[in-house]
Amino acid sequence: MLTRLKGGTVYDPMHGVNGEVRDIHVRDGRVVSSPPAGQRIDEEYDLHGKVVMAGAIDPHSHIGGGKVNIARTLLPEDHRPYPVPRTALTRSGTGRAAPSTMTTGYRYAEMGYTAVFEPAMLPANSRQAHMEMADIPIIDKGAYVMLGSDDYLLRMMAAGKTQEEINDYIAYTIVAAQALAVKVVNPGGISAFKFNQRNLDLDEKNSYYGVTPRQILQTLARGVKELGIPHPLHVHGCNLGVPGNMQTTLDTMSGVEGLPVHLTHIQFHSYGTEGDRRFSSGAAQIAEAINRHGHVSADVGQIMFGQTVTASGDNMAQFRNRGIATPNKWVCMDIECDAGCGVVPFRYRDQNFVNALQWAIGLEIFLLVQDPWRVFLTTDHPNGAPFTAYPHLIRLLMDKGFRDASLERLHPEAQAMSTLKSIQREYSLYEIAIMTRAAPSRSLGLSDLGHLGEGAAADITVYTPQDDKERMFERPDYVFKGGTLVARNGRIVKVTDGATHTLRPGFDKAAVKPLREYFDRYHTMRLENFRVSDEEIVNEGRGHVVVNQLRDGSRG
Amino acid sequence: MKALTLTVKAAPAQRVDLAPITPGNLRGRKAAEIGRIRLQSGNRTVAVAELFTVAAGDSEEIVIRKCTNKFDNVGAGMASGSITVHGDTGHRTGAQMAGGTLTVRGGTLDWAGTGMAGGTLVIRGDTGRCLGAAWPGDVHGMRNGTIIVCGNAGERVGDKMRRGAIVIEGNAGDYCGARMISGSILVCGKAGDFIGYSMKRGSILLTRAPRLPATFNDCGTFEFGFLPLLLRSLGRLSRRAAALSKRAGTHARRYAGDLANVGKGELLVLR
Repeated sequence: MLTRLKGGTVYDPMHGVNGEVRDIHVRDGRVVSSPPAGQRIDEEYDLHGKVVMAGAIDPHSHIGGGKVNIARTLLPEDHRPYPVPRTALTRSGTGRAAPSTMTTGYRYAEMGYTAVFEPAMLPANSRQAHMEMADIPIIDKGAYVMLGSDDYLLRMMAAGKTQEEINDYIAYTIVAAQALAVKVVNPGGISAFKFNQRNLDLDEKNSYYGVTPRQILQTLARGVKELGIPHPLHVHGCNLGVPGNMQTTLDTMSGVEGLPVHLTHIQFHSYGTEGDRRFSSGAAQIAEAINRHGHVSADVGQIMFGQTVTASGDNMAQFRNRGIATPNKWVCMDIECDAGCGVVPFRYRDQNFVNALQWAIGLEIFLLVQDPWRVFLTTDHPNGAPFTAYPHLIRLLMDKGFRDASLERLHPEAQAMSTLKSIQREYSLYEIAIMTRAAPSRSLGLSDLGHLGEGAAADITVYTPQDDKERMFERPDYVFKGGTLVARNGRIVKVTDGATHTLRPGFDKAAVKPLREYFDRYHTMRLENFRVSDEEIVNEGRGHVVVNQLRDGSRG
Repeated sequence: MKALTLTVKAAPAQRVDLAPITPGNLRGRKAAEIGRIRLQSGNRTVAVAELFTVAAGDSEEIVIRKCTNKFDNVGAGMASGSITVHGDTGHRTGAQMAGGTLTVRGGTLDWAGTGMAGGTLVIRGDTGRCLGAAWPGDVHGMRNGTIIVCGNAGERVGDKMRRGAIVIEGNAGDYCGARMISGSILVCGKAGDFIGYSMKRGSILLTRAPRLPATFNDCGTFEFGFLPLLLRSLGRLSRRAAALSKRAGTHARRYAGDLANVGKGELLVLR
């Protein structure tokens, strides 16, 4: 079947297309070149005056894995008042900050998102994470496997194993956990917490293993590069949320020796200690450093005001924040000696100095980083805000008047501390298309997502241009997933199943033997059961596995 | 102005969620509008007018006639005014209510007054399990207000109760005052086993010695100045409490516990 999307104004930054009127043809779920004249068109959508982009990609959103379920269990308050009734097409669900799996998929698709990536999958939790993501309909998904505080890696580093041996372990873990990238959370800090260390700076040794966060960062970043994994090491740095952590973040950027890294939810890592309250914005310095370091990319982790829940592997930071839990309950736990988990519900308030400034810091970073290819649009769902805040965030970036008006309603001292008002920049539609489509796709190495060139997956979102960008992005006219119309005017019209994106880096089979011995001796399951098979994800045809390409020249 | 009256036409076979029928929610609505309100019933919704005949009146004073225990969430979340029910009610009667007066002339099923934060709930008949208790997942049970039960109550009265008072004129089931954090419970009849199980603070007043759990400690008989005041104030709503306030003096035997938890709670056996 040949479908023509006729006359839309196309924004496709991967191919340099900036607002050109053109037709897009779709056959069998793929974008194809223009057919010869006279070819029968089976279906045509007239998109004159509409904005056409590829489906949006969220590169950092906690949608699966252990901590989301813990957040759900902890917070009946997030479910009971927000029931989502079933319809003839969609199934029932609940929740805002930690919505149930199916609701997550519907809401993303309704907003024009067609691929979402879970950034913190513990190896030991990977089966559960994939099963949970299998329940998320329509969108494509994938996960980054979390390393850096796991006993096995720290043992290897303490024992002075070579980079090659460690690379084998990283590669094995990616394959076994069906992951797309590698994430490190508070490098070594989650482990240090279990040895009663409550802070861990970049060059502070883990009291048991004697390994520093800087060494872990370098080892993992080098491993990721050498294995040819497209996405740079996904770094959740040290000292999250601590005033003055800006310096740690700057040291992290310069301390990885030019290896590519992606600094995630960087807003939480951009705080200074100026002013009477010893809390200030480090956005200018951080943005300047990102501009200067070509090997660094970042996503923001913007906060929005209202109730949410923070769920993180960083139990050190979460334990520090337990006192501000709203409502007053929290969880910090170890998970299988692999890492940890902390869940602290929180309400960001616009009349709170710190929260108001956090809001401004996030926006400052968005606006001061010059290259939209290296800064991605996230709220670190649900930590900064639920992902449903994205249209609002896009309006803040595209509309200076609205941004200034929003700023004026905040805590007055926070307003005074922020340079937001002096920033004139407004994002263009082209730049939004870069940061929500092309850039994450390129960064993650998803060759057929995030663009509309020939051969791309026909994940396409069509908007009606409006002055109010929030309304424009909230409710796309059409959302196509793999060529199928899944949402119209912000309503689901068809429910499909998305793919799971993975990688298959090669590793020396000899590396498995010591790992098996380790599992047999210490773990709660055997190595054979640890590995998630393709069949489990395919699950009798509901899902399918996409194996993405490694970077050129890597062993596969 | 006369009361807004809803009369059940025929007892429904399926359960019906009556949560939308509260004074706050019906304020300013005409009888026809009220008749169009949709109520959840199993996996369907039904209009109020299909189940009830609606007689217009003051929405601050609602009367429900011929009610049966198929109606759940009666008066749930109400914050003002009054609801008087002739007949029985189902589960979660007066759940989360924050103010006003809810009177059930008959009995109720389980979870009456769960999460209640204020107001007065009077049940003339018997009530089921988990009166004023914490709904699963909630940190607290009843947080304030007063509950009077003229009949008997089932298990787990005041589970995780935080504040407020519960009077059971009849008997209470097992685990009365379990995991209680604070507040007062008066049982005029018999209380079941495991009374005050894992309670932190709070007072459970009894008229006869219970089967004492092993983790409660006999402290002897004391004079408690607050007892007459408490009983007199509860006596305004409960006839049995009023009678007790006349009969009982200021002395009670105190058992401290649950010593397996914080242990600042007490069982007070009136003399």
